[in-house]
Amino acid sequence: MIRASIHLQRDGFTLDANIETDTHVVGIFGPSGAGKTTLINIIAGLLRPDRGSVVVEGETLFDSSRGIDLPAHRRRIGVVFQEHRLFPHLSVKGNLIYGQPRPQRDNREREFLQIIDLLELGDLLKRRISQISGGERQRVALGRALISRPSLLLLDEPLASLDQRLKQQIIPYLQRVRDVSAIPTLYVSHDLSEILQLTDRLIVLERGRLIGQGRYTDLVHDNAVLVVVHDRGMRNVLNACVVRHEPSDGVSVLQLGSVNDPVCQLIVPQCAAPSGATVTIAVQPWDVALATEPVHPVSIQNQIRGIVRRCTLHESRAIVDVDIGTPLIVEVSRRSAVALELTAGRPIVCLIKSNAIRHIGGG
Amino acid sequence: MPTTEEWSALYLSLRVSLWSVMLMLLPGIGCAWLLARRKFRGKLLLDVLVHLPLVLPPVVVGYVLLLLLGRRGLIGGWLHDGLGIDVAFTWKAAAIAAAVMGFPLLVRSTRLAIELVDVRIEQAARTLGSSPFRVFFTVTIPLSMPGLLAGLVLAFARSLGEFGATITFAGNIEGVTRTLPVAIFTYIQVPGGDASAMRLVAISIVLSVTALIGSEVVARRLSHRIGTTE
Repeated sequence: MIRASIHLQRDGFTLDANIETDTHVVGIFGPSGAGKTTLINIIAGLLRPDRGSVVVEGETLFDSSRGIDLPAHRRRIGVVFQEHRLFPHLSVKGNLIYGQPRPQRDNREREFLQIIDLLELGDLLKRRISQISGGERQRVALGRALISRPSLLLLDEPLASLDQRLKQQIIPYLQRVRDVSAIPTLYVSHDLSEILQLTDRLIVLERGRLIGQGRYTDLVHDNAVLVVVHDRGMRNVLNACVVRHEPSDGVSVLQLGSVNDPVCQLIVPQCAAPSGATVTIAVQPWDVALATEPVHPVSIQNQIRGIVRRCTLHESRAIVDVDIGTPLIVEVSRRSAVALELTAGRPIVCLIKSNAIRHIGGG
Repeated sequence: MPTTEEWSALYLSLRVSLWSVMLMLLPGIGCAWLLARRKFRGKLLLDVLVHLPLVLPPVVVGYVLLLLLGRRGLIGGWLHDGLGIDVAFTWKAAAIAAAVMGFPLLVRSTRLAIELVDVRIEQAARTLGSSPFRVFFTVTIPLSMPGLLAGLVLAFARSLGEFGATITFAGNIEGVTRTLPVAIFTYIQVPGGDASAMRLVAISIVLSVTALIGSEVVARRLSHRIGTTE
């Protein structure tokens, strides 16, 4: 649990935010210049706010009114920065063990090996930093932070310096870390779909102000959040399992949800992942149409029954949260929402063109 | 072949220079760090003080040292009366004179090197639980090593060649304070000393060139090691 109340003023920029998290992984989203990195630096102890407090897992790290300001090296907060910031004069192994706690624990070696294994760093240990690639460097930086046994992990745009293809190669490692470790994590990014692949809990910042925190599917109903999110990667990120391929039609059949808890089937353009593999797909909210009854005949391949959980009207659009077994955010025009009487509890059919479903990771 | 006197001048010079470098190492790194990384009142004054020996006539530096550390000097008087230590006109004086004269070269080079160390990497080290002290010795110093080393070699070479401050503060006592340059000067003054002077000149050149080449080779290896060149 992280509680931070922060006020900082620096040459024309003001950061004023009260944040509170109670889940394992929380994404901090906002356009560039929103103050995300400033917030991270303040929590890490690299920047001192004018006033406020920072409390992590019950421990007060900073409190201006009580004169508490724990120096960065005593905060036990691991940070992965946008630039790898690895030590160029040390080997990969030297970097990894730099922050390793003194040998008070017997399982130090085992823990080290687990993290090496988790991030697949075994082959790199003897290399110098100049001899490894950008993606490998970020993996080493992540490993270095984990090995220091932090009580909080801050990931500040760790993928921003990588190209799209590399990003998708690193995300599975981040997901593994999320699934294996219990360390509370704040994940900062200006790319919403990146965050949504790790968590649906968000803190949204804009121009130094907190404009929303909570579950993504709840936040998008708020107009201030919607305006910020809408053109910056707003989408549904869903996990699915490949059921089979139908090469003659050029499509694959996916099962939404997990194997034990199937939600529904989706027809998508054929993907390379083998049958049984788990993949991540993305659907933009405005690529989904709503109908009160299944439509026939129609070219749209996917017609999924669901129930409207919530619908909010905005200037020209309506945001509809449909429960199809998993939440699906749909955007329709305000006019359609009114005409269809989209109120909570109404059964509805979601129409998704298979070509509107993008395979973004896994498999 | 050089005579015993000439060998003694060479040996003395090396000893004096090594001591001078050792004397200035810690204060030099300290000053360089202060100037590179800290903001404080009187920073400009420190900067000027450090660089003064570079622009003052060496004789002036020697004379000031004599005023401070001579037997009747401010500090020298206390050292003589209290501890029975005499500094002026001993090899120690030669080492101190050389250290003061070489100091700006060490500080300049080290300061530049420290300024080039990415503060963000030091920050990363702090988030990994490293105290500022440990960060300095495990990150800042290793990453500024090529510049520090270059500064040390420059200061060492400068110490080998120090003349004005040395002859003023330490004098010209054979076997005690007659370093290479002082010896060369002395041989030039006496009839028939040309051959000796030439031999010492040759030794000086060989020494300086070796030091410069050595430092360049080491600096390149270090730069490669710390990844500033790939």
